[in-house]
This record gives sequence, structure tokens and C-alpha cells, in this order.
Amino acid sequence: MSSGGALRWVACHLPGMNDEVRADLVETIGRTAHRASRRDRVAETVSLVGFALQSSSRRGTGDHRAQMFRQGARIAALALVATFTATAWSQGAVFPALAGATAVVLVSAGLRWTAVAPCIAAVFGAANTSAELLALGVVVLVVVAIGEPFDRTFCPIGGLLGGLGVAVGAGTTAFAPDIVLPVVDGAGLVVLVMFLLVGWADPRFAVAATIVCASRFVTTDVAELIPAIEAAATQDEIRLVLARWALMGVGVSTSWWLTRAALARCLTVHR
Amino acid sequence: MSPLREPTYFVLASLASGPAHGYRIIQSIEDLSGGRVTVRAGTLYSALDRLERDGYIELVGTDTDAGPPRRSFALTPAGRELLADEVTRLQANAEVGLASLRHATP
Repeated sequence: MSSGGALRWVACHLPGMNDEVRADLVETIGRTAHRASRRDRVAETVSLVGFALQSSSRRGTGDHRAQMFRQGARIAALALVATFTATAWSQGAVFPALAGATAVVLVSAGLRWTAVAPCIAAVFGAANTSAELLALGVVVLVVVAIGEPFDRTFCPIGGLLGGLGVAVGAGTTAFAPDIVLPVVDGAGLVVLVMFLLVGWADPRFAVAATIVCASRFVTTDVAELIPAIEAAATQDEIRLVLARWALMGVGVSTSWWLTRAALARCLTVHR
Repeated sequence: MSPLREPTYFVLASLASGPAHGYRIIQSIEDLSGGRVTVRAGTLYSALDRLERDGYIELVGTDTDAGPPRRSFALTPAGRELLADEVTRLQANAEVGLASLRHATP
């Protein structure tokens, strides 16, 4: 397949746009691709993906800013409830972990108020464990409650995938419990970076990144900062906590800036 | 008033001379800017989407142009006014810069 043909194929198969627009776009690509350099074609592919993501978010939210925030909260809810479940498991808090796992499946299945019930149970269960888990549980409950599913229909495939994720997590805990939290932390960082990259074009993912960063900032880093200072921890320990706190603060600011830029790019003609 | 994004400004400028479809807009922008500005197809269609939604351009039909039917767009009166406002703003900014340079020249 020639390079121009590859670009046309990408244009033909991108989701999120109607048939008339797609046909027009493919025709335009066909005329511009043959005279473009490799670098231009890569840039063109990136711009096409950006257009498809933007188009998808605008069609899914009807260009309503509030809907973009609420659907972004929905995406964040899935990431946060998975984090809560893994954290609860690692702390040996069985009941909150089971409630969290149930919430993962229900949120993945596109349910909203049904998913709130296990989140409430998780908060009550976490009340007797650690302050961090309790705080995270409360944040998860709020985010699940305000998040709006993308198309408000039950999605059994999503539920199955969520269940599969829970099963993999449970299996990992059973056979290699020490790697659960490091793997979750690492995966969380990768997911956050992906949210930020996709969020450049689709504001819902930028909103999700902001909520995830802010939640972790409040429930983890601030929670560790005050006790570390109060316990007169060593200078190195305080420096480490302060560095993490600063980094998470930068993460929150960056993702909020990205959210505003993505919303403006999506919804207005002005800068 | 907030400035327009550069691709948006050039799309409006290219449509000021008459209706055009996507590829012709891209060519027109390159000609108008002397090759300085290249608008990618994805960027162009995002801009067309936003401008059409906000009522600054409208779909005026299909243009066969010796090929498959293409969607052609034209400026609306609101779009013409938006373009005129932006040109005035850019002109005012340019005059400030030119005046400063003339003043500074020994």
C-alpha cells in the first residue's frame, strides 16, 4: 500500500464522523497525500486522529461543556475505583476490596446509580482501615455519582471486561501479592499519560486526567505530608514527600490547563 | 474580542472570495500565505465543523469539479463580519508595531 493509500485508509476507518464528512475528507486526503513528504503524512495522520477524537466528543456530548465534564468524570471513575480496589486489597481490607471490585464491573458495564451502592458499602468498609483508603473511597463515591455514562445504556461487554480485569487482579494478588501495588502505580501513570495525550483532542479525557491527579493529590500526597512533618521525620523523608507533593501539584495544574485548552479548541473559534 | 486561531482565520479569508470545498480551501490558504501556512486536513475539517456550528459558514451544496461530489462552504454575513473584525484587530496591532519601529529608527 502506498503512503497516500495508507493515509486514505486511516481516513476511511476513523470513528466519530458521519459518512458525508468522511467521504469529503477522504477525497481531500487523496489529493493532498501524493505530494506530501513522509513527515507531512505523519503530521496529517496525527491531525486526522485529533479531528476524529474531537468529532467523537462533540457528537457524544452535543457540544455541552457540562456533559464533557460529566463524561470525563465517568472515565476518571473507572480509573479511581480500580485504584481503590487494588489499594484495599493490598491493605488486607477484604470487604472494601470486594465492594470496589463489584463497582469496577458495574461502572465498566455503563451503570451509574447501581454502581453507587457498592461504592457506599466500600466507604463504610474503609472507615475502619486507613485514612487514605477512606478518603479515596469518598472521592470514588462522589466521582461515580456525578459521572455520566457515554450513551446511558447497559454495556455487557464492558461489564465482562471489567470482570476480567478484576479476575486478573485477584489472580495476581493470590500468586504475587508484593507486585500488586507497584504494578497498579505503574499502570496508573501510563493510564494518566494516555489520558493527557488523548485529552489534547478529546476534552473528556483531559477532564478525567484532572480528576485523577487531583484525587491522588488530595488523598495520598497531602495525607502523607502532614503526618511526615508532625512526626519530625528526617529531612530526606520530608524532602521526598514534598517533591512528590510538588510533582502531583504540577500534574493537577497541567491537566487543568490541558482541559481548558481542549474545551476551547473543541467549542470555540477563538483562542 | 479574543483573537481567532490562525487556521480559522485563514479558512475565513480563503472563503471570502467565494464558495470552496476542502481541497480548494487548503490550496487557497497556501496561495494566500505564500506557502507560509499549511493547514492539515484534520485541522481544516475541525475548523469547518466549528465555523458551521457557530453560523459563520454554511454548506452551499456539492461541487463535482470533475470528480466525486464535494461539500462546498461559503461565508455567511456573520462570518464576513467576524473576518472583518479580525482583520481590523490585526491591522491595529500591526500599526502599533510599525509606529514603534519608525519611532525607534534613528
